[in-house]
Amino acid sequence: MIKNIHAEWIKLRRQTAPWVVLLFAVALPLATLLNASNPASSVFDPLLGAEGRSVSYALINSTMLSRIMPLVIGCWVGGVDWGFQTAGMAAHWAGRGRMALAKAALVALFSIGCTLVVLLGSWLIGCWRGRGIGHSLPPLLPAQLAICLATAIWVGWATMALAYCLRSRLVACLIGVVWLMVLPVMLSDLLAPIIKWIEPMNWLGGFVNPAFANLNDLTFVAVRGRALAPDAPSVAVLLATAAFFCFLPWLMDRRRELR
Amino acid sequence: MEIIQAKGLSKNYHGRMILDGLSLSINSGEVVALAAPNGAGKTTLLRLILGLAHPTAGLVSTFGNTPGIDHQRINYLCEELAVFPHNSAAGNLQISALSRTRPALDSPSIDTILRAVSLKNSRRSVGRFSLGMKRRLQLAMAVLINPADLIILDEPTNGLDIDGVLWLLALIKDLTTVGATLLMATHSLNDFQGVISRCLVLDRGQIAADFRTIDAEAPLTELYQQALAGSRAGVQS
Repeated sequence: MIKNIHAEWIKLRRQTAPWVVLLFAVALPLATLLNASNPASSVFDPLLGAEGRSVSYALINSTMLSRIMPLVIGCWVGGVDWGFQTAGMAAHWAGRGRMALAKAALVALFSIGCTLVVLLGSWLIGCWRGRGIGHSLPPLLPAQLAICLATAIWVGWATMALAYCLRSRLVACLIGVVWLMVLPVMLSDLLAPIIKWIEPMNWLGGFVNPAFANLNDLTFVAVRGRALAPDAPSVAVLLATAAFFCFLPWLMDRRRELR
Repeated sequence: MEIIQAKGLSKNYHGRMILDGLSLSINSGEVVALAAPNGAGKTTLLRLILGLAHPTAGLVSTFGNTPGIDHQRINYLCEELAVFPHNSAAGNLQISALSRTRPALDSPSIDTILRAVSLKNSRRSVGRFSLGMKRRLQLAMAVLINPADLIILDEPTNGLDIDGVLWLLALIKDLTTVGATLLMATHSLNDFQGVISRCLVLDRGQIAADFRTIDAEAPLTELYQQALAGSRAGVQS
């Protein structure tokens, strides 16, 4: 399996597009994160809410960062073989199952790495600037790390499956970005109840709610309000997610042959 | 020993019948050409044998197992020009080796393989290669990395220059001497005169003709056309 993961990494590492997209995707939230750790000078101040919530904005940016990177990499890893018409040969070399597992493992490893770097980095920035996560939430850091890790892996796998089904890295990336960033921000107040179901962190957050009951403040997102979903529906959502991961790619495989 | 066996194999695409109850059997050590008019289903048949597509009806097996199970014993060259353009030639070979869970190739092995297909080991991206160079690299990735018992080639001469075709013929002869079985879909039958031991003609979803070619004196394309015409005349009458 390690060899298969290595093969997927060789495919990915020499491509320019994902790294350029990553650079742009990371630059904006990172700049905002640095800015938001001092709310007095932040252009986003009106969104921050009451005093004491300002830490959430730094948190939003760091968690957003930890999701954007897996999103982009998930798209490229899932769609790379369609882009170069190598899907048939690559699937034959490795076997379909082993290839899929290697791709999923690479995305998961990347997601874990990104989340650790981003969250610990933002925590250090918070400490350095005197506000932000480091200042307000050190006891909750491990819990936040756990939930962000789960979300980052979820997003990476979801977009990987999307790219595989659509057979296009760019379209999957576009849908992923709209889903993750644009939709929640643009439609926040208007469609708050619906947005709750679009946000992947809510899905996982809702599912693990009993275990993370004290994370209400962590999952508070300034542009969307409190964001934990009820438990029973979130189980249904989780099942739907499992169907998405397992059934949809399989169905697409049956309908559209590998080339 | 039967390497490939198909019984009553059918495949539909969006209501269009591509293969219609096809049956065939290929034995160990044979070099079989699969010839057919464009769009007759050669590639579809190869994909079914490889397990990359699923039959609508019927059964197909390789080495007595369901397709896909023995994928490590099969080398496959697809019809499309399928290489990783951002990687170097060496990177492409590494991907092929590692994907098959073989050890990573060291520099001398890469040099040897690339020399065999008249390519140089450099850092240049494969995207900048000419069509023929890409095809040679693809052949190396498909055939030279992993010794296999069954080799399936889909239009192997596409994009190859005369030297490339001659190299391919020599390679096929080498492979047959070590007992490998070859199945290749091709329109360039004459290129393989004296190499192919058997020719299958696919038409209207079935094997329309199946004849030995190893001692044939007439050009193979002529024999193919006669077989195809005879089959169609038989169907009409």
